[in-house]
Amino acid sequence: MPGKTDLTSLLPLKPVELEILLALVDQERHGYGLVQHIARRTDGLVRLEPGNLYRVIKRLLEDGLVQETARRPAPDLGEERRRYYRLTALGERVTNAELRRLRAVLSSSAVRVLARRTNGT
Amino acid sequence: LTADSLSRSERAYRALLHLYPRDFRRRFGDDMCDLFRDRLRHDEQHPARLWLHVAPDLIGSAAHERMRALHDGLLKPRQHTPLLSRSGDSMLETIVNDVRLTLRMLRKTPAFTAVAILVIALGSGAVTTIFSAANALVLRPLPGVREPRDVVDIGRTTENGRGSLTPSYPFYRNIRDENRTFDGVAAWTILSLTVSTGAEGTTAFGNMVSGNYFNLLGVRPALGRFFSTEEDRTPGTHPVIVLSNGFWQRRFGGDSSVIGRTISVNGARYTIIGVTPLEFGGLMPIARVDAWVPIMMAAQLGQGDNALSSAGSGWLMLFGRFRDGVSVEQARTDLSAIAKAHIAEEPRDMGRYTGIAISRVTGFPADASGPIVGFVTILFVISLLVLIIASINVAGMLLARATARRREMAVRIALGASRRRIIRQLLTESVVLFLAGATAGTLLAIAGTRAFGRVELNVEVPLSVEFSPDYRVLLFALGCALLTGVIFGLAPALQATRADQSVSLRSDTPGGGMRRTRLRNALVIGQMAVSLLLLMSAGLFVRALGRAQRVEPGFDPGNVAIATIDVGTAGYNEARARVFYDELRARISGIPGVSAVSYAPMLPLTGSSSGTNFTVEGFTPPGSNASDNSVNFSFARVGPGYFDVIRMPLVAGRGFEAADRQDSPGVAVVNEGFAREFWPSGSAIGKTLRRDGTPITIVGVTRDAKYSSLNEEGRPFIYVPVSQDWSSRTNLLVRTSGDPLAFASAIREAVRTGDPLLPIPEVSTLHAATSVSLLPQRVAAGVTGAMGALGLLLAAVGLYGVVAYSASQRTREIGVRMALGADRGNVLRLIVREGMRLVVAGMGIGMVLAFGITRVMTGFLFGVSPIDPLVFAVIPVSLGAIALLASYLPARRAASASPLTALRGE
Repeated sequence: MPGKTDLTSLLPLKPVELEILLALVDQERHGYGLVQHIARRTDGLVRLEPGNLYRVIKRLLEDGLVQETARRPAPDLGEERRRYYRLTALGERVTNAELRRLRAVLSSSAVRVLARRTNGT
Repeated sequence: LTADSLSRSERAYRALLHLYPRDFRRRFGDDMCDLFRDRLRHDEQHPARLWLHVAPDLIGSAAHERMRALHDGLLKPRQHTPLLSRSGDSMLETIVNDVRLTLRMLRKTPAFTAVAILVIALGSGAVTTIFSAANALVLRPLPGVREPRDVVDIGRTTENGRGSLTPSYPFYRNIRDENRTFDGVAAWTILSLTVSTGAEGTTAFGNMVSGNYFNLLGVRPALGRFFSTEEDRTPGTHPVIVLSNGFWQRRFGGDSSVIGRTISVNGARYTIIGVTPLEFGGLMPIARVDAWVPIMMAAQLGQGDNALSSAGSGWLMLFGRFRDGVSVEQARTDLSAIAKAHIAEEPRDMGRYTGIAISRVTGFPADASGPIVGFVTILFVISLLVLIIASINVAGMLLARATARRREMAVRIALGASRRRIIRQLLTESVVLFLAGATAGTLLAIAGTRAFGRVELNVEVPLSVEFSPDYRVLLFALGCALLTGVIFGLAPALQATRADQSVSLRSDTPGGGMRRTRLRNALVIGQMAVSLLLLMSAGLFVRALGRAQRVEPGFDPGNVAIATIDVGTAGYNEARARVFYDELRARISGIPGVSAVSYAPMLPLTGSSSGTNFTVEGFTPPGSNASDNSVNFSFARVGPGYFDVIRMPLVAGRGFEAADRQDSPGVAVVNEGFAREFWPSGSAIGKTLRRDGTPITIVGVTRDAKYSSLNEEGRPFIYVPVSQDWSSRTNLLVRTSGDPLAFASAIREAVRTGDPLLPIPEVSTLHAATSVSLLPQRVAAGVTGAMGALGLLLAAVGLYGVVAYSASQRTREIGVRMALGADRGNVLRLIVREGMRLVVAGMGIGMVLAFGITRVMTGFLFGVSPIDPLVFAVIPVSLGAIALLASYLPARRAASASPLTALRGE
């Protein structure tokens, strides 16, 4: 598992990775839960198909950003058993680091100029 | 939407998950299916719409994962391969998995693996070497020839098929032009040529061929062209020559500008028109061919002035290619009719030979092919025995190991692996072992055939046999490995998985039950039987060689130097040649240390023989008519002093002298057998023979001898002086004091003094030339002796292993026996007795087999009986002794364990 100093080596995250990590901040979710949550949050912009989703999850698991749990009944799916994913401490730190990076991006002068130009038209 | 279509979609999705690498699928496959199902149920969209999104995702992400797996696989070592394979793997994955597991198992037991591979390599090497030789000699007789199976040899014979007559050119022309059953008939003969490009000539081995020769064989020139129709029409007008690829490489360094150049052939200028492809070696590829010349040049190349016009002089060999759908019988009827018409119009033709013999072209002289095929088959079968012994050894090792692994098997079966799956795994192991062994064996075979190729055979014609393995040999080795791997791996695999697994799971039950013991015993018995058979064959061949070497040839081939000379090829006419040979004989006689010099166109005991018709005055053969009461006798033409040179004793009269000249009265020397047959009570000296009407007086009688081969029966034999039956090609024979080869340079110098333009002859010894007659015996004794030794070693090691193993399995029983008062001797006897029981049973079977089988070797045994009492007594006793030792050693070790150690367990 990468130590503190390695955080930056995981950055920047891909948008899909960030979306998944963010979706796991408040609660553990199973696959379908993640897909639905992200679709809702992004107004259907980010649609996760199974192959793509699990490729990303595989990467996040390998990097130690998320953990998988044993399969357990999912109340929202008629108590069928599903595997859940949860954010790890490292995952949380990486998410934070990525958000800081994005904030820095947002506060750059170029963004301000762009914003002004867009507002002006 | 029906539940049906939903589940169909699900099933399809699950199936498509196989697009992903196995590891990915195992890890996420179920979850992905869940997600797919959830979306199917809860997304409230038509499955078709879902598939619209899912399908590209599947393909894209699967491709990504595959790439990634590939990348990881190349960079990282594999972490684990589970022992239990789950269902749903593809066939390929299973095999790859099995092989990987096998390699890991084999790596874990390096000693076992190395010994097994070595044992298989020895057996497989033996059989592959012999197969390579058989392949070279028998299976690919005519390399470079298109559809060689359609090419047949055409010979003349009598009506009842006995005897043969060499066809003449007029006979050939009739057959060629009038037959309706062949696409074509071509003629050829062998001759030696003196080829010189500069000052010094060399002897080249040539074929003189009809114009359609190459076309009929379907050979295309590697360079230039072959003979044209024009060059096959008019005698003596087209001095052209085609070079063999090897000769072109050797003499011209593969220079493609040789086409159109002229070289000197027998003193005349010939234009090089073409070069044959490398693989093509004529119709008798075992004898090297350097060049081909057109038959129309026969007179110029020393076949005699009327070779092309005389129906009385036969000197050709014929072959043809069947027209489609023609049977051998149709062809024979067709050609016989032509032969009869030919005889009717040609009074000089030998009228008795009305029959036609059609036989497959074998690449050997007609009378040699049967024995060669038989001989090679026997050697092949013997080498197969070695492979069987080796395979049995490995089967025994596999069985022992499978037994040792029975707990692993039981665990795997208990965990749900099917018996089939485990058998497949065990079979994979044995096949992989056998493949590895066969690979090593093929390398051995390549080395072995190289050694074959280097053996100097010392025959008159240079042998050129391409022994090196080709694709057929590789296929054979592969097939052998797969077959033996499955056969000898199957029994142990079945045994290992058959026993009651609940018993195996318990900790320390020895053994594995009756069945396994029975299989092990069967292996030992089989091995002993095969070993005995192998050793008996080897013993018989060695005996035969011993007997052959003691055969008295009737003359002394030691201390005689020989050299082949042909002044005819240097353009000498007969008169000039006679003078040359007389002078050469005188010159060499003057060399200090030379006691006698003579000539003979044909050397004794080199496998060659010739016969011709003589009339014995006062004798009418039964069944002959008044006009022709001649009989065909074996005869040889020899020079003056011949009997002194080879030290063949004369029992009456004299040998040939320089005074027996061309123009002096005809004389002959006969052997005792001849004299006994015709004048049992009186003397043969002074009696008259006739040859083509010419009277010949018998002036001497020699002791009986062997003439063409050592195992021939005694027969009447006639010598005539070469001066009265001329041959320009002859062998110089020089009796020397001491090593004949020490005189080589003096002899060569004498030839050079006679004519510096003649090719300088190779000097060798009569002893070497005559030892060719022992070649089959030497090869057989050498090969089977080596194989016998190998087989014996393998069998002894195998027996040792089995006895040692079963003794170790019975450690506990031995401990109990010893604790109950059995002493060491009892235990020793018990174990040895059990081993020997199997040995004796096996040898009994081997004896029965040997009695039945060795008789096929009769023809090669030189009069040694195929059930030779010495071999049938000595070999079983020796094998028994070795078997006793092989079971005594491990038994002693088992018996020397202290009862306490033995009881404590394994």
